[in-house]
Amino acid sequence: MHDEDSPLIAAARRDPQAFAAVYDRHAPGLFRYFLSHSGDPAAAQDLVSQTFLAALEGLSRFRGDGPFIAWLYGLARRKLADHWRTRHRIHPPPADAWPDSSELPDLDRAQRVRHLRRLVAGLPPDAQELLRLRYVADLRFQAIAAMVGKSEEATRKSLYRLLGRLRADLEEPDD
Amino acid sequence: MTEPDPDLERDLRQALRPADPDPRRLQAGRAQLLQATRTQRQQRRWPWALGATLAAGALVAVFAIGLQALQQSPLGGGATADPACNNPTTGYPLNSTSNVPPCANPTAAGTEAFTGSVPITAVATLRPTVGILTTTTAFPQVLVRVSSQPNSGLDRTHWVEGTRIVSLPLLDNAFPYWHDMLKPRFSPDGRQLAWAEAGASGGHTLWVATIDQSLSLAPTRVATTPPPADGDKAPPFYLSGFAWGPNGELFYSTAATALGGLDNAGVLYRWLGEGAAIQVTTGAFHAVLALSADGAQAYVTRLLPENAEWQTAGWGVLHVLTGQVEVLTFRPTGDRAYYYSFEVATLGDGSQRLITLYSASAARGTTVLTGEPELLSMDPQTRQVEVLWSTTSGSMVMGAGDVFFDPQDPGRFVLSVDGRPYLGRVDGSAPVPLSDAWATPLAWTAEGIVLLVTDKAYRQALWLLDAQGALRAQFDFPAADAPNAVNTPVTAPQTYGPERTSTYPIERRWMNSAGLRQFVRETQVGTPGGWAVVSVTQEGDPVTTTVALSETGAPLAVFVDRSADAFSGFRDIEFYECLSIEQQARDLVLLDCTGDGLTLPTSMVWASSLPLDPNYDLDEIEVQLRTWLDRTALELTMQGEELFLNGPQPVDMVWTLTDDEGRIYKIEQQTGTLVEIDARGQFDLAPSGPALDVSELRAMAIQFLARATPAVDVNDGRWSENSNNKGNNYFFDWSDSNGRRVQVAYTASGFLFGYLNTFALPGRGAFVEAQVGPEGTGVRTGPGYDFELIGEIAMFSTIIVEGQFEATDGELWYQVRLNTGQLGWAQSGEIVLPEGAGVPAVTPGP
Repeated sequence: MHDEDSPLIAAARRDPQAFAAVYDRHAPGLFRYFLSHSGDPAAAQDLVSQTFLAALEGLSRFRGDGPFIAWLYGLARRKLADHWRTRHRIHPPPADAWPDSSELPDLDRAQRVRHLRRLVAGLPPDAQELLRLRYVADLRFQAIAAMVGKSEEATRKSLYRLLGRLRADLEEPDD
Repeated sequence: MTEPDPDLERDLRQALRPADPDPRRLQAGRAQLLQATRTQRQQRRWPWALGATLAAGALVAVFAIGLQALQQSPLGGGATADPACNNPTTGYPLNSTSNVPPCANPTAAGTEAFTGSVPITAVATLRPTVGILTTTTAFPQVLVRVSSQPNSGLDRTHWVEGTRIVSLPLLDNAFPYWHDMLKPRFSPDGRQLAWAEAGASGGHTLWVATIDQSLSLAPTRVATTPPPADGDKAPPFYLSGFAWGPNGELFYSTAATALGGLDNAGVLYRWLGEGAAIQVTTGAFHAVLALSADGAQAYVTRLLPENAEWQTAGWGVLHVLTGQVEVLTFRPTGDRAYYYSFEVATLGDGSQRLITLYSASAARGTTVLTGEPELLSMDPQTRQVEVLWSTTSGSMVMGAGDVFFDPQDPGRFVLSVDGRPYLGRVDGSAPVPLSDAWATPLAWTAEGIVLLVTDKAYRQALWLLDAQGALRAQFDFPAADAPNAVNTPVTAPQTYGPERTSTYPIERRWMNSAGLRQFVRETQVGTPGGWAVVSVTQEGDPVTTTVALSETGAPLAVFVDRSADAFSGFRDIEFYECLSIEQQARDLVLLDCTGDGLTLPTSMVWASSLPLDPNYDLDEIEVQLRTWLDRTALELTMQGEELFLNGPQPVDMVWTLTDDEGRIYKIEQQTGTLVEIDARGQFDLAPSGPALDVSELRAMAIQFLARATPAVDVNDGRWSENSNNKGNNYFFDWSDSNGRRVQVAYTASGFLFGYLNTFALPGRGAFVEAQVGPEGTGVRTGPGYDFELIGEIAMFSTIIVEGQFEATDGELWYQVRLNTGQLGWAQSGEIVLPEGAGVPAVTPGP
């Protein structure tokens, strides 16, 4: 199984300081992922730190039988669960709390994006999570599949079915 | 299957994807990670030779040593006896200053070692240890769990009854975590033993066995809980506990973050003596510890709502019939309040006490307690809280452990503090050492106090003491329990002369590379030809390094207490045949024979000659500040680190400290310079005298700078003054052309509430914080689309612009700094500068 992180992980096993390169590669994506969940930049920053410290600590337990990034996001989800538990479940911000899309050059598209946000907010949590992993964290299907315990093909199908549903909902006229 | 739709995917990214983080946010995390990697790196330089485990604090249940030492030692069946003791069985010349007679010779006939023969068949690693799993004060037995690997579950349990030790079956216990909530518990009549095991799947199984005279066990499976949901396999969030009720029924609880549709809650089962356990109730609790005398209430642990750490679990009373959980509070809790241990003691009169080790302000960790911990006792009927013991050892306690009450005298208890057993009384009088032995109490039975004792050669045995500390019996562990041990043994048997123990006050402190105050917390020096033990502890992130020096002055072993795993602290014991110790500028460094760098000779006086780096000695900074601020008793407390945004470079990290009045101090990490004092929260300390003239205040500011920043002469022509006032607050401010700045701020009455000094920091040209536009931007190695793309920055991110360059085609490019510190170039049309911001022109490098 190809894992583009393998060289970095191998280096980090030899010298822990090489783990900083892993941080540089994945911290921004993790930050976005946490921010999209919590809506709190300070919390996202803290969670990124916690996740990487946990990853560094537990690197010896990463056996390499799946993509590293799937393992990393597994840790991230646990940190997120801990965060929620201690914060009495701070829910993600409402859809209109995201950056204002009115600045987008295409007003139709801006409207469509806002509509899309509302549609996503109405999806079941696992569907939202799938979209987050794919479009916020930019994870590949291989990694998402390893995280959700499905085959890569099944994961791809799930996502495309979800996209189809969203597209159909988008095309429905607003009430 | 619907095919991908690029437009929809693009819009989904737009809809869901927040802006990339401000680089400084990730920079702080990166710095933190690098600190951690440096720690790991240093640890790797040490040749781990033998491991052991000490889980103390909340879950004290394990005290471990290397069995290899046993195997090779006289105690473990080796050949060498201590001639001074003439005790071929034990060879145990330990602590002659102890009030336990050294080398007391228990009758050989009284020691029947390990009649069972259950082999350890699977050894995952080669770090054998002995762990003490459990004890009971209800019945005069001690269960000893011998593990081939810490927390491996490959454990073998032995039962000590009177003077006999009997092996119990090897349990199918493969789950890599266990804790003292799972420790076996005897029924009130002493005829049944219940224990839980965690399987490889993470599920727990509860077993009950009837104990007959033959001491054999035939356990019955009472209940099995399913494995927790994904993400909950690791403790601390999957817990269980069990306790016997007064009528012989068994209560069993299991809890997890997500279990059976419940969120962060526990499920209570009851077993009535036959059949399977039945579910009784659910509630906001985690582990049942004990039942009240009438069986109507269960004392439970519960997580404090604002804290995630297991150590912060609090107490509760679960009303069995209703499932309602009532919160029990020993002390008002704060942000850093910790309940470290949970014990329910039954006194001789049958009444119960909830015993907890509590700290109002604690470092995270399980073996080092800070914040002046107290041992508290609560009568659950009256809710009255008594202080059983409070620390006197520099607000820090090592390895505080379980508390055991004298079954004959409910007012008396034994506990372990700093690896030594202490005898205490409920009347609040100071506990007194029971023995100088390095020992952990395991039980106080009708026969006496059971201690697990370790000698300086790391051999281990069980002692049975009377309440006066006299040794009544001793049990040895066999070497055969570590058949696969391959660790480097103590090659030469250690012999020790008469010992004298001296304890030095905590007076040597310095700051280590992680910015934590570190100090020699204890030095014990033997007589010439004896031994020395030096313990070095750091605050905040409690890691203690203890060096034991042999009679020749050569280091014999190094103990490292870690708390990285919040669940169970580890004490590793490392043996060295060849080791040198060096004190670098800020770190205590232990090198093996292959290590390089400056190596200092070791000697008995090594600890008292540790050189301190004045730049990082809080004492010295405190002395300076006392002079500057005219405060004779100022003391600083380390709070942590953060980015320093007032410096010429926005990437400087500073240590933050506070004094006892709440002022905030910041010390730049690279230079050790005090760069900021912030007393804006202390305006109430300002004198109420008349307002001073501005010229007087300015003179005070210059005078203060002369003391605090003598290298700065604000009148030498290099500084431009930008002093101003906001109401009655005056800011005397000078800066140079490179962004360096000094500022002293006073109230009108002359109270200094601000000081900023970035003179010693690396200067830097102007820069501008800008915003990436809605399309994001690519960052290239040079100002042009032909240059290599080295990064992409998401829309609406904040970005640092340091310069601009107009390319030959007329395109304007900005030089930007990535969060990695790397410089690159971005097209100006994709970046929005603040209104009026000026960006200096720069020339691209080759």
